[in-house]
Amino acid sequence: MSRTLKKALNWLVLCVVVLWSVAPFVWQIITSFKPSAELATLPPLLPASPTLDNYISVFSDRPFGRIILNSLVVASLTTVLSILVGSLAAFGLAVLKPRGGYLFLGFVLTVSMFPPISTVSPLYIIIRELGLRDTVLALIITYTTFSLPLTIWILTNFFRSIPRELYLSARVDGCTSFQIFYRIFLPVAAPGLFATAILVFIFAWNEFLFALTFTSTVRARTVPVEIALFPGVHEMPWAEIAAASVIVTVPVVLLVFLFQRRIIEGLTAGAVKR
Amino acid sequence: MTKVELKGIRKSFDGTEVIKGVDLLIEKGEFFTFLGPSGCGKSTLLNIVAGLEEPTTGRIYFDDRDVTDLPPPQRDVAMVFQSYALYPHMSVFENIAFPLRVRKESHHVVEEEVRKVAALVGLERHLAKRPSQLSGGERQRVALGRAIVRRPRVFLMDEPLSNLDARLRITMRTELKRLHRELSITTIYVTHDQEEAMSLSDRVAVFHGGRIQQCGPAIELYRRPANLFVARFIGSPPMNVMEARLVSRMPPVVDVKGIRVELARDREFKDRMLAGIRPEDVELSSTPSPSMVEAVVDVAEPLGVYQLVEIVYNGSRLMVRTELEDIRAGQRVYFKLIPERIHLFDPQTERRL
Repeated sequence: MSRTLKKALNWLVLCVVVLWSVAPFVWQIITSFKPSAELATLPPLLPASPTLDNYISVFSDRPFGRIILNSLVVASLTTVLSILVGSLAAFGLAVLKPRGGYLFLGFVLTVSMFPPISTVSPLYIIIRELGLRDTVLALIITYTTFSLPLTIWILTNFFRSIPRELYLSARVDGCTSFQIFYRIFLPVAAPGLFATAILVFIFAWNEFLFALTFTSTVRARTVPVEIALFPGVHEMPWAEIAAASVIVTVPVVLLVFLFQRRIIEGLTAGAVKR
Repeated sequence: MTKVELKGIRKSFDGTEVIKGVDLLIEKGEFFTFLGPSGCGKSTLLNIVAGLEEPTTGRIYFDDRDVTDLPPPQRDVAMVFQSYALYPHMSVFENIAFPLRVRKESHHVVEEEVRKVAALVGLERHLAKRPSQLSGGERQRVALGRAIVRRPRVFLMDEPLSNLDARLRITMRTELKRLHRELSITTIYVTHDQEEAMSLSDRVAVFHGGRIQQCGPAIELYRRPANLFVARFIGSPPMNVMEARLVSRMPPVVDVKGIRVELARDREFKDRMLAGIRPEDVELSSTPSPSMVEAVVDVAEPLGVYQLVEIVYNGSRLMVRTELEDIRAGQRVYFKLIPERIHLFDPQTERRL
């Protein structure tokens, strides 16, 4: 096969894959700019008379600003808390090597093995008894619990890939274990922290089941739940749903683009000797 | 300057004893080396001195003060690792400054001390760089600088040169020796390279199987190895060892694989012994002489100043070092063992006779 043909084939495959994964999102974007009269037209080409009405009505007819703020608070605090607790636990497990560390790691993993639907009722009762129903705190605590296994696993592996001599050397240089944690291991593991943080953030940002169960008003409702509540009794506001989806997807996409290099570094670190 | 004393040190990992009782006294300002093959316990012992490992039993004293229960930060030792263990996210300056920063020295002191040390190890021009931008030798200097900057009581080095290429290793060796002379800090150095140990150290302890086999100045280990292990480990290429028989006691004559050698009378003998002779202690000639034995050259390795020659006689092989230049494989040569350079060992205990 000639070189140009091979190249062309490469591009073709690449285009198909990109089209396959981006198409639904593009459709979503196009829909969000369509007036309701054009909604059902197929194929979903560019709107004849594009409009911003859907975006405006999302914010004017509904408390969408507040909802986004809720989601931001929940996702950010979950991420911070997860990384804080997770990195400390991972440092302990990977570097200080306590007795039964492996057992603990296995135990942590079982937490994420329960299907969320099976834990939602007991968790609801706990949250209600704690008086946390319809608060962002309820979501933050729950999300942190469920994202910690992932965080601890990724970061433990990350800290393990850091040469042990760094720990020993810092120890001889006069550091306490905690100083070694924040002066050496956290900065060296920064790519791993970023990658983990993004994953946790996306999980918290998109979570639906717990958010639906634990919240009832605008006070603590998050984006996925709000969008699910868009449909009225008589109508299905497809265009508004599309506009809302675009609005909440953009921050995540931006975040990923912004830290793309860091994330790739984080996900591939330790694979080859540096 | 600090005197380091180890008393009855033993260490087990999961029931396997890796250090089986070590007693040592390292003098003030001494350059002392733990030498041995990998797995002999030398690095573990160094970690015990640093406080990174606890001995199972035994005590460690710095200037007669028991430091066994002190964690590393309170022992005031500095350590250089084989992998350098530089902090990758810090500049060279910050790497060297790190121990001072941990001790919360003032900005002014840090600046001054780091510059001074950087000059000492020749890194003035690299202070702003990251470790990843440096060559192996330069990284090694950063590690040294970071250790020196604290003026520690004891300097510990765990195979610091073994990641460098051969030429750089020799340069750094000289540099280490100069640094030690200038700072005269008590230094404990771990290596598996006998040449490094000999060239650097005031005294060397040879380790094998978790025990010290022999301890003394390098030249003494070379001249009078206490047992077969030390005899084979010190010297390059290693000593030739052959079976020997005592043929007569008065005068003492031994038979080494068919070669009869008369030895001095004041030595100790057994009926059956192991005789060791270093390649440099065999005399070689390309012309026959009545006192010499005939052999055939199997391999000749010219190395410039001298040649290493493996000769075969009577079915046995012998490594010989010679300054003769006209030796070729397959050639007939004549050799003689220098009697006073023959080492005798007990075949059972492997101790020197």
